[in-house]
Amino acid sequence: MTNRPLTRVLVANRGEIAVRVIRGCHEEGLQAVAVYSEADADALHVRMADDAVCVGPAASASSYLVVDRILQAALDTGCDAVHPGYGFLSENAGFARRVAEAGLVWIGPPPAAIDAMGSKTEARRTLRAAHVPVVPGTVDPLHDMDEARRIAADIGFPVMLKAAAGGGGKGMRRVDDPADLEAALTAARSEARKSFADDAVYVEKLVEHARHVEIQVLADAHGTVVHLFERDCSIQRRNQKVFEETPSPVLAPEVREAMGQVACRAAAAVGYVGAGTCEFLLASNHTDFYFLEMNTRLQVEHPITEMVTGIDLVRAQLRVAAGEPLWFAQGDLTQTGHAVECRVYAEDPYAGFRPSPGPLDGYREPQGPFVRVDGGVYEGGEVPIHYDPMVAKLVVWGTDREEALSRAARALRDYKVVGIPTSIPFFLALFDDPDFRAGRYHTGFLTPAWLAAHLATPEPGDDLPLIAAAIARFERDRALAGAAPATTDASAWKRAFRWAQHHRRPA
Amino acid sequence: MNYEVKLGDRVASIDVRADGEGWLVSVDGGPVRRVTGRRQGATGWWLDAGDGLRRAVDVALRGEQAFVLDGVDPLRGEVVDPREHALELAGGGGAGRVTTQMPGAVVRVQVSAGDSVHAGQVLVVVEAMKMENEFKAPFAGVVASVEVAAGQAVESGAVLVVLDPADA
Repeated sequence: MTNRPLTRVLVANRGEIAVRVIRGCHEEGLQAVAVYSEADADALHVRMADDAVCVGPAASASSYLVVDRILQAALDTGCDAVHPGYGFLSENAGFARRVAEAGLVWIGPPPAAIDAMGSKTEARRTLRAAHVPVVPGTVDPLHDMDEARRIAADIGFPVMLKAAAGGGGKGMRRVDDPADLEAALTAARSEARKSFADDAVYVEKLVEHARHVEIQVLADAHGTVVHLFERDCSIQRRNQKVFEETPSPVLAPEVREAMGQVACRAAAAVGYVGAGTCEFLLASNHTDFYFLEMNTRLQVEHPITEMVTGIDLVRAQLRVAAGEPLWFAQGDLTQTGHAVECRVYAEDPYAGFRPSPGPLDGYREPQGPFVRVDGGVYEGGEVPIHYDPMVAKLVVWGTDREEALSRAARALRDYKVVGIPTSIPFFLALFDDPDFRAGRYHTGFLTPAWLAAHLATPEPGDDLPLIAAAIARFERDRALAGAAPATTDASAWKRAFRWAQHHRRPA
Repeated sequence: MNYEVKLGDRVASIDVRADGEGWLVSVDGGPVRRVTGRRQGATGWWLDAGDGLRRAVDVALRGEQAFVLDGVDPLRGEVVDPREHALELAGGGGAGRVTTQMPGAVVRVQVSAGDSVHAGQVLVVVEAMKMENEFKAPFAGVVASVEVAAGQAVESGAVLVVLDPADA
């Protein structure tokens, strides 16, 4: 691959990740072009880009997901590359091919690598051949009860029966006792047939109390593949990551090393180029691990890796896409200190995490040493109803886990989002849990019972909030009635503004 | 001026009067206290109500809806001018307004004006993000008016349906 310097990048995404990529482009001396839906016309990523193109109405299926419009936007604005961010078209091999066919550089892995990792059964076969451990079981459907009995006994109970065509929990049966296998298989088959018109069922070992630990990899187009250590993403609510940290509180150095090598092997097996993530299940003995899947894109939680390695993953993506070799080797990489990420969502933690999008009447992000906020909103703006309701990612570094957590708690208390409820109080409750504080958690940690026990709707502690609400209303009524508010001296500000206009320094 | 303030489960009747740079405030007919302070930024207030009751809080008002951020606690409720409500009740004959709690898009309207509805009957379905939220009749009655149509975007606090109780 020859070097192909980039000059102008189309950022095919929205929200915080579009902002993040635009920052990386600007730091690399590249221009960045935003795309936006009609609902995002006032979004932060549009304001930060060098140019911006509206690609359709609010619904992502009519805007951010329309390949032709995104490509046309790139061509119309003279871009020479496309960065997909995460979500939307980022793991769409067809889109990656179209980008290349249009003569543009795709800032992501080769389409063939996306395809290879996209099909679970194909990935399982490829990776087994590359000696990557996958969850014990079959990919091929079970023929009959005898085969089911033999394989289940072989991998050991409990096992999970899964519909081959499945998803969303349909056609899934947990089996703890060999005596229940036959009934469970019949039930799983019948459910699979009803849900997917296909009664093929396979069997997998159930990895209980597992942690979700993933490895960040980076590969260049010259055959170098390195890993940037792990991220522990086991704090999940309904299978969605909400908090991540690195290092994992439970990973021994030799397990980390083994997992890193496996991840590099998996990436190499599919000819991977760019930034990607191999996800693993880590068994409760914290030693056995199994490959789950590879995400062939930048991850939401990439900043914590940046904080402990000092490697800017977006800039690395841009350089790799331009054909440059990685400027460091595996042996140069270190994991320094501890980093955590809290995904601050416009969700009401006191109402079952119901989405709570809306205007941000007041908005102040935390600051201070080793605090980073990757956001896509601003005061006076809004979290629109049409998309993922993320407000921002709060990322905090400390010399060790305890320092990182106490700093993160401070930053969460400093974080002021006024007008809509957010998940900020949830993180403070999480940080107060002694098991969490000790690093003792797994993917099933946040049960509905845990959430109910730790999140009680707040009530006023004294009269001040009520007095404040009444005074705010009183002042609003007074302003509407035409009287000057008691606490603002408007004329002094006007004088100061005029003074600034007359004394502005030349640009 | 008198306001009915509700935050969380707490309800209070609060009198507010201007007093130079500050305010004179009485909560639930209690002693009048002098409150000083100032507005800070878009939603910030620094208030000192005496007796050590002073700190920074944030207040966002949208119509009668109130959102107060006190530390990390989001307190939600409303600030109502009872005089406005008195007018409404006089004109509205005790009608029940079914309102949204969040902005979204109306998916379905399942009733029309004049329909009799039972308590708990789904009136309107509003979607925000990928979640559908059913808005139900709080009591049995007759639909006085439907204020929205399918496909329409609605703000938080928007009136969806107005109901007249069955047994007035």
